[in-house]
Amino acid sequence: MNRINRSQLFCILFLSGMWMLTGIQSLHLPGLLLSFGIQVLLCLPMLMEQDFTTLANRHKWLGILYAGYFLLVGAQGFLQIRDTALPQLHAAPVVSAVLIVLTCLYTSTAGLRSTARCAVPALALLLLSAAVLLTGAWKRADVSRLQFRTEDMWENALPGFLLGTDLPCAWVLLGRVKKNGSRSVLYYVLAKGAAAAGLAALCRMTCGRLAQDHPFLTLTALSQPLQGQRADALYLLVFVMLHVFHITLLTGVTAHVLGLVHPKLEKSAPFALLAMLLAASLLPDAGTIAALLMPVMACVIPLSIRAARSVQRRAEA
Amino acid sequence: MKLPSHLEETLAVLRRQCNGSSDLLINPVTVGGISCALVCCEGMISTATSTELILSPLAAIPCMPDSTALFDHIQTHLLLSLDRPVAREIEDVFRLIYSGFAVLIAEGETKALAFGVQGYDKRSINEPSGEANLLGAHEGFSEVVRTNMSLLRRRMKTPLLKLELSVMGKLSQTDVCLCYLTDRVPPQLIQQIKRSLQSADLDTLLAPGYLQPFLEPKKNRLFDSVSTTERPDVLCAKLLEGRVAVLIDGNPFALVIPKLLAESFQSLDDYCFKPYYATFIRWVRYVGFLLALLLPAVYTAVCVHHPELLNSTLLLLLTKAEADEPLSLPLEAIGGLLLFEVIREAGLRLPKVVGGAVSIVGGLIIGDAAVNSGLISTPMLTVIAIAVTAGFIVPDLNPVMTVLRLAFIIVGGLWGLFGIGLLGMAVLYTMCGTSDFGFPLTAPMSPFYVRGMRDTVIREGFRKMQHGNFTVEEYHEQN
Repeated sequence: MNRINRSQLFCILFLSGMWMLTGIQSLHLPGLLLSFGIQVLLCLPMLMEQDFTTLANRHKWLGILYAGYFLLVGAQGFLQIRDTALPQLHAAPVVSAVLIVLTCLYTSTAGLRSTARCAVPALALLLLSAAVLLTGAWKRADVSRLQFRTEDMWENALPGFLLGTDLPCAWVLLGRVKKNGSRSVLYYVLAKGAAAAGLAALCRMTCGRLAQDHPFLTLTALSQPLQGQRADALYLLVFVMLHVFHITLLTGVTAHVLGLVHPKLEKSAPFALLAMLLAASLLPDAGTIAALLMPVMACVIPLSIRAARSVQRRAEA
Repeated sequence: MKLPSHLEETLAVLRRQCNGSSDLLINPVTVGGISCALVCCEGMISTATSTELILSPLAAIPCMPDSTALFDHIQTHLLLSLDRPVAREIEDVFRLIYSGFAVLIAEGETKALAFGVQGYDKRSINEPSGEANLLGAHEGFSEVVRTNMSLLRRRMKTPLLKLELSVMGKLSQTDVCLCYLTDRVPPQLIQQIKRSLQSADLDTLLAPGYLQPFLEPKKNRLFDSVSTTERPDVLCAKLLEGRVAVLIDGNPFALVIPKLLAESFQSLDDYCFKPYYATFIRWVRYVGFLLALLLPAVYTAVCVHHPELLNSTLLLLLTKAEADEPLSLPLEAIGGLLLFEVIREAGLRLPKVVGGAVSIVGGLIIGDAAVNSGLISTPMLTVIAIAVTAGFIVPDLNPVMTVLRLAFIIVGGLWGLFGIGLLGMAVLYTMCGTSDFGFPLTAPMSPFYVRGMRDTVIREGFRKMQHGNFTVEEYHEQN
């Protein structure tokens, strides 16, 4: 099995997490931190297991459950880009969608190791874009706008659950890390939490009330690094690249999980992509999946692991 | 086929197998009272050397009881040449004859003695045309593999440098030399390369390109994972890092395995300049690579799809320049680049005297005429010129850059930065996925190795670099 190292694990998780963050529909800092905290707690037992491969080899249903979960997360990603980026691109939406799918189809054949290697330069590109974004946003930022109400915290916690949908992915990938990768996952959780909090604060300071709907896209629209020039296209470029990376990672992980169910399914990444597309075409919209399915799945999966482990312990006893 | 014991039979086999080829010289002679024949290939041996070192001593040999005693006498009492292989097969005799050996065959003997008296015309050692430098040595490899081996040995006077000669090509019988430092090279790499070379079932081996596909296991690669060099000093530096080189007789280029992308941005001069300047030059190369690859595509995409990215002055300037152009921007860019490729190819293939004239006609007359006639705008011509010139900074990646540049222009012209981003991701995945013998092409950038940054992002001084012998094995990834 191809191995990845700890820094690569951090990079791929962070990039995937940033895609979730940039596509989020609303960012409410207290609600976001609350939901994120709950989800981390839910996933702690899972992350401490560190042995997905053995568990999935014994319980095939776990592999199928995970594969289904990743397919839905991928479908949600496709719906997210359909609703946000496609209308803003210069090509016709159908053409843009076809191009994205073709690129994902090509990259999905490259395998998880290529995805891991690709994560380092992609992260460098992301940080560069973040620096440009920060430069532009800082000019318009007003600290007085930074007021958070805690009344609607629970209501706003729901979109925050989206940020935790890649934690099961982290657990699957932990089995492929050369050494103990738990520390990388911990760093990733902290970095993503910090990035989410930073972005929420920046959105609030820069956009004020406008940041309630698609905060990242609003932020990029309002923060321009140079006067008289607009850099939206650059941010859109990064947004699309993050999406390709996210989908490629999910197809790779899905193929890996299916490979544990049956070795012949190990090269099924392109088929996983097609399944994601099919799921995206059958489901109504990204918001519905995000609001209903993801939080449930994020809870069901950690609990299913506990169940599988207890069944195993009972059988061993 | 074994060598027959009768001289006449042996000579008949030789004549039959070479089909009366004019360059095979068979000289019957009596040596020490035994009937012999000295066989050689015309033009491959030095007449003066063979007369002085072989013919005169052979003529002075006293009478011998039989051919075995004669051969024993020659081998133990005479030092006719330093390279004295013994051939027992007809195929070996032919290979030695056509490699410039004089072969002595005697009546009643089932082996032949060969004497290295090569004297064919060869090119002298010149400065390499493709890898010029300012402060390093000005010697490059030549076409003769043994000369190239000596160039390496002169720089590495250690028994750890192993030079393994073998023969490849069923018809060409080309000498191929595997070079490596026994204490630096990963043992499994040597084994894998030997296996790859054995799998090459070639008739002839005329250029490194014949062998390269067998050293790159996966097919249809965009990026090479085998590098070439024609500089012995560069090759020594690579061998010191645990790489393996393959020298091919008849070609002045050495194949080096494994290749890292970062190497394409390094030159020998980097290690002669002060670190701050070497680092600066290296970053110029990185920027140059990006300019060569993306500048025409980004210019086209921004002008056609994203004019909001330009400031008003530049936008007005470009609008004015492009207003009267009959062709669209992507077509202008593709046309300009194709024109350049035509001129470059013509300059390269024609004799040097005419090649210079073609450059003048192409560069000055056609370029100037195209702008004046309004076929191509001045800003576009400037962009193309910058991109093409920047491409010369990294000649190693020129084939990839040439093709990808056109592809980026097409997607940039059609779909703007979005298209460039998608193609960029595909190229990035291809690049990151390239890995042969377990060495990723993109190391040490990805996978990231902090220690590798001292000769990638910066160029550290030798005082620091000398600590801890670096070998490429650090970048090896197990499957």
